[in-house]
Amino acid sequence: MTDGLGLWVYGVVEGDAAGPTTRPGVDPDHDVELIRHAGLAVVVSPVPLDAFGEHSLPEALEDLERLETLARVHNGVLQEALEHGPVVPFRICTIFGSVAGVKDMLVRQRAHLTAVLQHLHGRAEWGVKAYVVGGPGDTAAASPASGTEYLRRRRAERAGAATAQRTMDAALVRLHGRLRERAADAVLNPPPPTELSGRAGAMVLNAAYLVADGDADGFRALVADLAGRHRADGVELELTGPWPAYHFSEAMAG
Amino acid sequence: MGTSTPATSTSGDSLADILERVLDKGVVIAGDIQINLLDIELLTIKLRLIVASIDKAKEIGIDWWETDPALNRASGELAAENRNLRQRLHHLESGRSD
Repeated sequence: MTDGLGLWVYGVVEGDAAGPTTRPGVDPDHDVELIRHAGLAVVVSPVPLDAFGEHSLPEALEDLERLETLARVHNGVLQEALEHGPVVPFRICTIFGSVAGVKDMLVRQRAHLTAVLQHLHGRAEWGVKAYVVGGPGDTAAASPASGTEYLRRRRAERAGAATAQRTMDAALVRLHGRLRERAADAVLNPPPPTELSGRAGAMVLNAAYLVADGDADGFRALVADLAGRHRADGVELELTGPWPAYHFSEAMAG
Repeated sequence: MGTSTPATSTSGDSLADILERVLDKGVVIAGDIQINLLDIELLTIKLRLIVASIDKAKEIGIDWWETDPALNRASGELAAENRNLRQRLHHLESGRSD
């Protein structure tokens, strides 16, 4: 490996996976390659260490445009790998100094990576988010006639909001339950930060499901069906995928 | 990717969806180059808020990123400009006292 170059790791695929098509990696001057070793294969691309080093890279990540480019290329390479078979996605900014370093990692992590690949075989990740659209407080009421009237209205609103919240929570638990039943695995992400959970379109569910490729259409149909049922509650569903299994690779790595 | 059904409103190629995954999920294995992921994660909490909620945030009047130096490249330019102005002022003042 040329001096001053490191290797950016995108993810790990099965040892007999097809090689990537010629495409530039996170550094546009270097293409994506496959390093096969220890019965596995790593998707990598060379990066110049002056731009991708310990000091320069964190700086680059503070620039939203550069971060966007890195994130999109990283995900794009993994998406392509996913078309050929299971892929264990690595978090961005995993960089090795040499091919030998990458191979050592493969040997060290082999048991974990192999187990994860087996778990992911024939499956992909789907994201489901639920948003509350509209809801209490959205309708502009006439100004209160008096202070008493205002306070009475506030109390009623608060009581109504608490009931609505309980109804919503129960609906979301049922919704997640239905989707989880259909999936091999499921992950619930924490709710988004409260300071931005304004009422218009606040996200109330952020989940990922590991779904068998053969059942992708069935899963899609289920989401569409549930979306129809929940629309009346002011809940809108958003389905994304298939994704490389970002949510289903982490826990098993040592 | 980015399959949608009548139930969905956006596809999976939104930056927020991608950042959420590539920054917070996926296998963490230490490489030879050590990047402090914690710093990045803290930063990206802010970035993600921006990406996911910029319209909503504006709606409810949260605009801290416009004044957050870490997120505002223009602030670097401002700092440079301030230095420059101070230097010129100093220059002018020292010229007057002569």
